Amino acid sequence: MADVPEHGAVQRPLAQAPARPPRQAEDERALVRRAQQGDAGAFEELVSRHQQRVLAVVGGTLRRREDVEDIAQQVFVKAYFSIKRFDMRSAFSTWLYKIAVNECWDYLRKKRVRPLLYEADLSEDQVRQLDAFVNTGRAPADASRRAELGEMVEQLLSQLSDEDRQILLLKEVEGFSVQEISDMLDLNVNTVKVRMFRARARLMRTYRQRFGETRRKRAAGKRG
Amino acid sequence: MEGRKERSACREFEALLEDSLAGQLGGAEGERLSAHLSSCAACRQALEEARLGGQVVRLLRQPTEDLGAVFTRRVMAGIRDEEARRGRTWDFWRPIEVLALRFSLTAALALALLCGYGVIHSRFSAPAEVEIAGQPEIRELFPEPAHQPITNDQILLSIADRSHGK
Repeated sequence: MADVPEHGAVQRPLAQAPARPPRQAEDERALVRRAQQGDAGAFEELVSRHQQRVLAVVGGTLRRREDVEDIAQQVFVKAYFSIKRFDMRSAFSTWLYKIAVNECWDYLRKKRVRPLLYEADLSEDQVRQLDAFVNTGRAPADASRRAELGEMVEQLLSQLSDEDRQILLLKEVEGFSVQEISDMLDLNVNTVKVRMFRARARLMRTYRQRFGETRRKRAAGKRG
Repeated sequence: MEGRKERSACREFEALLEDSLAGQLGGAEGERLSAHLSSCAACRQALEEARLGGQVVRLLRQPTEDLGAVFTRRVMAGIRDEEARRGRTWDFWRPIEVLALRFSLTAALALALLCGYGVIHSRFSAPAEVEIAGQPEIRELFPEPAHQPITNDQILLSIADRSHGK
């Protein structure tokens, strides 16, 4: 049985970048300057350094694997053609992630879809699985069962507002810090914390409502 | 769990509760939250719900697939394509732009030549007498005023002229 890591003592997902030492930050600024002067090699190095995190931002917003790489590529193309306008007042990564967030929302607006929308109700078996997971904190080791549980969680998440879901996914799944999320979304740090806290509570409320509904249906079925 | 009455956390403690979940709360703020939690059941319940909520969402974590150099190459190829596309757009407009530039230069040159001709012509030709068309008719309609009588004799003569005129 695989344990889902607890908050605070989590294993970092691959996308998580450690805090950069000053020398590395200076090195990055030099790369940005070279890219601004038209050095494609310098930009390629920047792509290579940031692609995982950009993929994580896009993945955390769209949740559609088939679109994530295309949108991440568009993010870098856009960044390449507008890098001369980047004034270095923020970190390059912050600027890049903002482009990524905007690109995702543009894409969703154009497609006129929500990141993931589930209308179907949870099945009895699904509820049992999720309930067991919530009570024990242990996810099934079996990959297919785990994937099924993941789908249920996505279903629950679809009940949140787009922005709350994005905040929660960027933090809990993609491993971004509250500060990074607030920079990305142009929100106050405290606002991000409060929204995140409420979103989690709302998620659990939805879970309990659905859990209750399924239990009631089950009981009614047995009586019938 | 079922039928549990939902109560929200106290608004002023929500950010602290989030910090506490992240394990980032200590010192005076930590003590303040602990004291509050010991007396507020709603916050205790909200904290537990948020902890479970986080646990549920973290179920979606997957080891990120490192696309590495393949993705980097794809991005750079995309940039080259976009540059080529922008170049093609420029190629389409370029002849029109060159033509427009030539036309505007020719027009500017012609204007300059006309101005030069005008200046030179006005300097070397004599100023023309201004003739008003139909001058006699104008004089008839608007006769020049008679000289004002100055001396007494002139006054008397002008009165006599007027009375004679009647």
